[in-house]
Amino acid sequence: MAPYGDLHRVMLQTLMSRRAVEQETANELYRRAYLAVKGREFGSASVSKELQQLLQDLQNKIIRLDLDIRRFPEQNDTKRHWICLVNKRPLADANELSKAVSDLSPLEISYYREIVLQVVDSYPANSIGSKQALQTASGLDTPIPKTNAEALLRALVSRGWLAKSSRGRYSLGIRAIAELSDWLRETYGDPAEGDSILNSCSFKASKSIECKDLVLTGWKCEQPDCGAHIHHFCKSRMIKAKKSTCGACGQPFDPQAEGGIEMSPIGEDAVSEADDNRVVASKRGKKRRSEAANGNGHGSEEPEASVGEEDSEDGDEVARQGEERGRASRRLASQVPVSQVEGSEADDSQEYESE
Amino acid sequence: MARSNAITYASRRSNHAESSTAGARRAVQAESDRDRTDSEGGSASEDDQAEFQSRPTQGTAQTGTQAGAAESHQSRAAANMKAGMGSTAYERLVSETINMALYATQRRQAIKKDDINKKILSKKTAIWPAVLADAQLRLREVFGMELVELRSAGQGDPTLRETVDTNETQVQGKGKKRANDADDAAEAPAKKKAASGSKSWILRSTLPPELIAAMNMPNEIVSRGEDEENHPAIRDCGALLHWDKGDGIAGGGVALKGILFTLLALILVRDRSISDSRFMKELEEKLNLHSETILPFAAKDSPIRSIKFSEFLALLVRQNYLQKVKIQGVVGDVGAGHETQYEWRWGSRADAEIGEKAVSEFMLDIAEDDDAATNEQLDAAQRKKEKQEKALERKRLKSAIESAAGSALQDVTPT
Ligand SMILES: [Zn+2]
Ligand SMILES: [Zn+2]
Repeated sequence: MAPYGDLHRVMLQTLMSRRAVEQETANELYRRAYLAVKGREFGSASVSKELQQLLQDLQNKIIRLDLDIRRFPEQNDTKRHWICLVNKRPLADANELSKAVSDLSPLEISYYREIVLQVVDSYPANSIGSKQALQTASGLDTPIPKTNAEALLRALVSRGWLAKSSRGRYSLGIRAIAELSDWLRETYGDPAEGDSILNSCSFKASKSIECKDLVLTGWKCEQPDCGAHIHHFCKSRMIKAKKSTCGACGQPFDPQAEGGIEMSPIGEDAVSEADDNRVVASKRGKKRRSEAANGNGHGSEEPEASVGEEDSEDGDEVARQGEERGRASRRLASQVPVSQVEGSEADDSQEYESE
Repeated sequence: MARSNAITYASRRSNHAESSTAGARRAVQAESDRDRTDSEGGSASEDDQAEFQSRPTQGTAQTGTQAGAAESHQSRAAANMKAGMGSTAYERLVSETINMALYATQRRQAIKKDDINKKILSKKTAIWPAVLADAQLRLREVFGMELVELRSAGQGDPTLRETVDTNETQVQGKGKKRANDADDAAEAPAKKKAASGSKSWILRSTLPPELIAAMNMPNEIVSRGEDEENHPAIRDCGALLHWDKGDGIAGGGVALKGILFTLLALILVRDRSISDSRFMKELEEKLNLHSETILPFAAKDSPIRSIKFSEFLALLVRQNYLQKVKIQGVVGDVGAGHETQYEWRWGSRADAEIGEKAVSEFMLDIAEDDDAATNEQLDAAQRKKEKQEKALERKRLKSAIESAAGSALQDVTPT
């Protein structure tokens, strides 16, 4: 192991200034850092291996400073990974959001928070249409004009706080997943809420290799009393590893097989494209938001999933329907670095274990 | 050329002070190197905690040799307090301080002692010297950064000490220039040290200046997805340091950094302060900048696409790069007594992060005519002569800048 030195410090500052870097980009940045520090080109060795080692060194140094380095796959992309520098301590309440999203103004933060909460409420779509995102801006206490809201949304996507799909729907971006998962779980992870965006992935290859990240897009097992969620890429990984069964109930994925399960899509595939232009507002969402504003965590008595009320402005029909209730959402305790689940992907497996 | 200059100099968050503090810093780094080797055997955090506990507070805490008696008393008290605390609880104070500093740096803010007292130390404010010292060690060793205390707004003028945190400082009469402060400091260093602290700190890099310059060279990186439609390419500016990514509101990109340097240069050569009216007139006449001029806000990740020059000035004041000082009742100025007048000076962040020397280098590079250097026709002797002439010219310009500034140029604020 190379001693901790300027190459480490340069890469840490590189990460700090961006907070989230895509893996291929990070590899190239590592080459440049190497050249800048050592005065010679990086040799023939594997960049991602060297970078992985360096990130592990960094993690060992910063972990007790309540910072961590984690690697996440993009939820809708099986290939791309992101390296994120995250705060380990979860936010205490919604007002602390500004701590994580340090780069936004208070108004921008309140807008962002509204969008996050609407995305949370949109389960199983886990995303909102762009029309709804813009209407949210005009509905704020201090309304944000449309063109400004569009610019802000672009910046939020560019910085990884939101993700925008080719359908034009907004969902949680990589930095939101990295930095806000714990806070969302703390705040909205009440088991009485039933199915929600807060479902963690059921992928499990062994005792130590599992994925417990939020499933923003993927599949839900429709086996009665199961309801486990799994990422697209985690399902592919299981199939590749010749384990084509639900990680929770053990029934085969193939619906044709004996005891095979039906799976329903999670993410924007759960709603038709016609929904993309609808504006949804739910009572539940409003209630939650007021609770959050009062710093009042999660409510204990929730009304049943209300069919949302129309947003009068456009007279759009309410789209939220058929929300399934009742099943206790499995609340998962501590997060495990995503890297731990990479075991089966030989070429880019990473373990940023701290100890 | 101006662009590349801006890039190189924009980033001087560095300490290139070859003063006694640099030596102290090296000593501190050497010590942490030693600790690191000691603990390398096991990566468990136990080791590090032990290292954390056993590290002497004194000595490493003080960056200068002239630490006053009062301060060493303070650090003894802090060391005692530290010894009386559990290591986990103490470590928490240090990590919270570091976290606060990192958070603030993202927004180009300073961390203030009042906030630290309130949010981190609560009743244990006396432990601060020890916490600060250990935070510095961690920052330098792990991050290649350090906390530097900003000079107070009206440093050297005893009537101004309470107004540190305000952006517009009231000055009775013509405020003293910093050059005078330096003289004061030479006479009574210990006294000055005690009097000048603003009790607010910013983070700056401790990496070598050449390395920092290299870290700021952009060269776009494009990472393509499977298909452009569903997985659009990710574009990164390619410079290792990309603060605008995290702080889209604050930076504004390289072009604006060039303007900042130009503004600092203008103030520097006007005896380090310039009246508001004259400043605005010069900006308009020489640079065609007036308050309504729209500047490109180059940060790609910012929701803002452009910014008015007046807004940019306000931003620079907020970030402490510039200071707009209110002058009242200027003695000897007929008719000035009733009207509020302002003058512009460097802000404390500019001193801590950039330094007068870097700004004068920036001016020299702009002024330098580098056609000859690249002229292939010249033989070695001619080229040598050219080089010598250029060095002479640079020297001449430098002393011209110094005399325009009123005294020798200062490097970045030492820690
Ligand atoms: Zn998964
Ligand atoms: Zn199942």
